[in-house]
Amino acid sequence: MRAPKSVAIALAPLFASLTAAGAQLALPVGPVPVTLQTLFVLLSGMVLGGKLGALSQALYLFLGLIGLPVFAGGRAGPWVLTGPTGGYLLGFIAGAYVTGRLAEGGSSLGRLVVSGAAGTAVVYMLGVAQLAYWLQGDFNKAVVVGVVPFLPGDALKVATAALIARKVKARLKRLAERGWSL
Amino acid sequence: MSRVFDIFRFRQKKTPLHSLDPRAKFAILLALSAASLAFSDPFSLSLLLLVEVILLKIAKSLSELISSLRGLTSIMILIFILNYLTLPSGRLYTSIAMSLRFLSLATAFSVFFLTTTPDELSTALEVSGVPREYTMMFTMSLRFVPSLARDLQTVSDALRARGLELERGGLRERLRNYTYLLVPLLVYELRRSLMVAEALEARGFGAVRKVEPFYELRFRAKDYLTLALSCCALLIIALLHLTKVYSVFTSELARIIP
Repeated sequence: MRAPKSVAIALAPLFASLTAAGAQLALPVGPVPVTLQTLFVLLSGMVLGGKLGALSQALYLFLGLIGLPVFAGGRAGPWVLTGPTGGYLLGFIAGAYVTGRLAEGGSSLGRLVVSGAAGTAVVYMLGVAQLAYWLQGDFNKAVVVGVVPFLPGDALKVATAALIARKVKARLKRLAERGWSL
Repeated sequence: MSRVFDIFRFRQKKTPLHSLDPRAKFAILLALSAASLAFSDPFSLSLLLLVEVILLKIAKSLSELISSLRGLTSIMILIFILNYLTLPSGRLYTSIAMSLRFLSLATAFSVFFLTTTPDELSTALEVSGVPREYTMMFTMSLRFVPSLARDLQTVSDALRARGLELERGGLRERLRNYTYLLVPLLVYELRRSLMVAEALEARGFGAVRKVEPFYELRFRAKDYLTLALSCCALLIIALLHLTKVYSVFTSELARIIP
């Protein structure tokens, strides 16, 4: 998506605040609540592209870092980022970037699903690494606690993100053709 | 839980701390958080907490800390239990220290955010060399979060009025319900973002490379004094941490407390 600077500047904060809203929307799946955060992480990459998507997630982390209650469960502060689940949050930046770079090539449903799956995998990699560090380096336990319970939810989230992104991208494309006027 | 964040929300008051330059206050924050990370014994951390309480007292914001103390204590108890169960030795000592460290870190941040407006913060970022686009995005996200929460409520009310039960059904059904919620919400928010973009263009955003900040920041004598004091504190903390003095002190303490 080639957009003028002003459009890019208005869209990155939007996705930062969408991820913040997603942290408060939880689906009760099994023992752990699954939030819609990663849905918006994937969407930010798919809609904004790699660089801007990563920027929007960095903005989200910055909001939480300075004390706004934007992380899951209304938490905030630097200790959330350094805590056991902080790796997932740092993974949002990398995940949005990877998803965005892969989705920049086109907007077929298959391509969006693959890019979303790759982005989710990146979020998991960073998340599990930090979780394992907090569990005294017990990598297997980290995978059991931090990946397995979330897999079904994430599969659905990737599919949903791809469906939504296709619609939104088509709309943005029409807007771009009209020169970004409403 | 929401009470916890009262200690991070800015409140307009007339105190010496409120009128300090945000960069000087940032130096205080840096010194306080460095101290809470460098010290790891209950005694020093209590002393640090006392300093922070005095600072909040100067800022006339002690009542905010007290009102959010209940939420903070629940997190402190959680940290205490987690440490107590996982540590091999010196459990009581370290567990108390870790919960105190959390409280002093939270209080350090509250000293900064209770007394600094978001506008001051973004101006300070801009003056410190952060590009204008980034500070712009920062202030815009600050404003987007509450309005997005409101729009989310509007769209879900509209769906409920049409008979859709968002909170019902299994995972798949619920996720489908969320697409009904999210597509209109996203389109609505994208439209508004593009309006903001148009407003930026209309005001000639990006036309001039160097823009004077709206608020003027000026370093006065008391700001220099604060900065100097914070730097001294940082230096002392670093010296205590690097030299053997502090580790001898903590090992003595650890012998007394189990």
